[in-house]
Amino acid sequence: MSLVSVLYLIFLGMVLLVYYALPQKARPYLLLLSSWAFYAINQGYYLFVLLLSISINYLLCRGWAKHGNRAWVAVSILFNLALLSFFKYLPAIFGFTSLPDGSLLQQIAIPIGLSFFSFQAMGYMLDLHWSGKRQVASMAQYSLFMSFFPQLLAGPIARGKSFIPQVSKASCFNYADMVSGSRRILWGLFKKVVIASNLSPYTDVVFQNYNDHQGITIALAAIAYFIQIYMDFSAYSDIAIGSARLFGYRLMENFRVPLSAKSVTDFWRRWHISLSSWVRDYLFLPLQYQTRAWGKAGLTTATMITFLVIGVWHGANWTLVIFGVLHGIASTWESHSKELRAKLWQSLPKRIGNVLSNLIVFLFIAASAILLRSASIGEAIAIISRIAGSSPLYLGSKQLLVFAISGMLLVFGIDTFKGDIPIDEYIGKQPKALRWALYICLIIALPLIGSLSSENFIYYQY
Amino acid sequence: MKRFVTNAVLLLTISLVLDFGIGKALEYMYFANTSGAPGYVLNHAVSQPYDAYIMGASGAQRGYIPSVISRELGMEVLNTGEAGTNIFHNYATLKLVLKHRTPKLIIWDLTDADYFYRPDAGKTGMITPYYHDPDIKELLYDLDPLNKLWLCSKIYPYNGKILSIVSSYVSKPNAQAAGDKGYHPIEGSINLKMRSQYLRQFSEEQSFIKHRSKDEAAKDALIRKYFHAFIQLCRDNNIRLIAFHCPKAPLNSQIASTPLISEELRAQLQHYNIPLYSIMPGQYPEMNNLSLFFDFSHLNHSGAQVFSRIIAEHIKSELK
Repeated sequence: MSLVSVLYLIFLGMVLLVYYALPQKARPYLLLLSSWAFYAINQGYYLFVLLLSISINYLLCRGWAKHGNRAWVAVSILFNLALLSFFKYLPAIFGFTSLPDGSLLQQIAIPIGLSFFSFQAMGYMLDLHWSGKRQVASMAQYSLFMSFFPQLLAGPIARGKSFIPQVSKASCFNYADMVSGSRRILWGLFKKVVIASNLSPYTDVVFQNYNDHQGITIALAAIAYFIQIYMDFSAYSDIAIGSARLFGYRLMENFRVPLSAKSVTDFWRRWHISLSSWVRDYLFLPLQYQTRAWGKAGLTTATMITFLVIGVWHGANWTLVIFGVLHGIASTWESHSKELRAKLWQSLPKRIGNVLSNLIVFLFIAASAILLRSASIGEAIAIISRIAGSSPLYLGSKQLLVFAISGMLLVFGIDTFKGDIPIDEYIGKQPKALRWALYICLIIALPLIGSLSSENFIYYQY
Repeated sequence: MKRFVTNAVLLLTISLVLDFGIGKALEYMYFANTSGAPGYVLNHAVSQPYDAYIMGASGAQRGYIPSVISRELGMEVLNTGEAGTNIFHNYATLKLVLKHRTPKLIIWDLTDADYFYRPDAGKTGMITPYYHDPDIKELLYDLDPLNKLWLCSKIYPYNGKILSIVSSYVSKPNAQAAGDKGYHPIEGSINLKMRSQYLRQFSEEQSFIKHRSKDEAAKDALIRKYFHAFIQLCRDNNIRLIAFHCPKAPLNSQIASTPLISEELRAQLQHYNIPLYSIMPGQYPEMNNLSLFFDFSHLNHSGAQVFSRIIAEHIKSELK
């Protein structure tokens, strides 16, 4: 059940109705049961993996609270890494997927959302350990934290310290939350259906038949793919955040206008914030602290390891390792060349400097997105090497491209004006007539120019 | 809660009113185009009577020349082929045509995609504007039960078509837009640099029916329901049905003599006594020429002329 499907909207509506009809104490239990039902609908008996992860992680947290021994933390991290490895990395490393059809190992699929809920579990345990407080949430609260359905499939990766207090907080029906949540969902649907899904046929055709294309077509497809991922994933996040808001829950923002980033480091502060802040807090900062005596070498080591983890988090493929390494190198270069770059930008008029740095980052990210798209390093090299050639410009269905571009103009236009404010807040600040005009435009655009057949999100695979 | 519900109902009402208005305007402009241009071939098919209809997907649209077949048979022929479609489109076309006239003959360009689900063949966007028709509505509901909900929107049947509908309404389609009674010639010859890709395509097309997932099997069942219904419709109306299978570019002797049509599908045609002609370059030397092909699966205009003459001869002998 995709978050852009009618079934999801019906499911959400039904859960919402029962939620506000129930006494407050019963509401978290309803959310918990709905979340498990949601997972079972999506991946059947893989719900068992989620339940196993919740049970073992919770027991380990209880163990830590009782004994206060670091070993519990280590076991928790090992358990989550083992779970990730078993489903995500070992099949790729040992080539289970190429075993004969029907064999048990060949049939093992990656449980949807595994990377997200495993990181949540590790984060919770580390927070517990670092806070020193031997107070663990109740089993129900912890279970809901791990399986809350709007964020279960592809994040945002929640933090226990911000999520769990919301479970125990009495949540009454709140008009502002309902409006805000609905706005977010509508905005997400528009980005997914009108932009990402209309770009998808073009990028699919070019990348699946990259041998037929060269030069400008490949470059354009890489840019289109980067925008597609951005729209696709930020749309998912908007729908997830909006859905949670309808129940009175606030999830972490996942994007903050990443296209306005002026450096790769800045980009990662704005892109998939729940993951980048997770690796910053639980990996980069501790590593940097441990290696502080090494000076610049320590910073480089911490940065490279962090980005390597970001790359590998996306999946077991060398292209993703290289993706991480490239971003690590770019980020390291940026931190070592701060003064040099500051001098260079100062020698240019501010506006030109801003546009240039913006453009360089955009092109770097778009080029590296080819690695996310390619099935192997060989394919990535073949695609990138074809940018140098020349062939007639291929645009696919011009009609779909026009729809996607008109959607982008609206989204990027609003992004420019709103800055870092979340979209629902920005819309809320507009005059009523403008707000309503926007709602109606977004609603009408869905059946008029949206591509309604594609329900999958790119980040489901991670 | 009252305030939220009131605002939501108000927003929904305004959206529905606008949806109705825009949908009606699109409907008016869409049905004003009876030229038979791609995407509008059904409008033409129901507006003018023909004796025979060519039905199929891109192979039909680009390989069957109505004027060549008309000349040989002495009957009016319309090519209703649409790229990316399958039996659903053919069934809908026949259902709509039968409301106005019973044709004598259907020349059916058949592929495995008319019997086995393929994600790239099954476009139904040309059918949805006809959702008012009870038979088409039933087909659309069968294709996706959620269409019951989607079709509450008057805009949805024209999803993704606004630019083409408005531009063709404003500028009026020119005479060439409809091609030669639905036939759309393509010029140019096969690019042999892509040989390896075509060979891969050949082996993929050979094997795609062998591994059917549960999902695909369910979709196969739906396709077959309409495959049988289409044949039954022809039988009930005494329409002669003759099936052809377009050749693939003869890159080697195996491709030249291996029709990409499954045994199961052949058996079904045999069961219904429907003649099937696979025009394989291995058996038809005049087709054994790569310069007649635009790409691996499609004939160019020269190829279509040769091919149309061959099938016209077969049809003539069948009709005798």
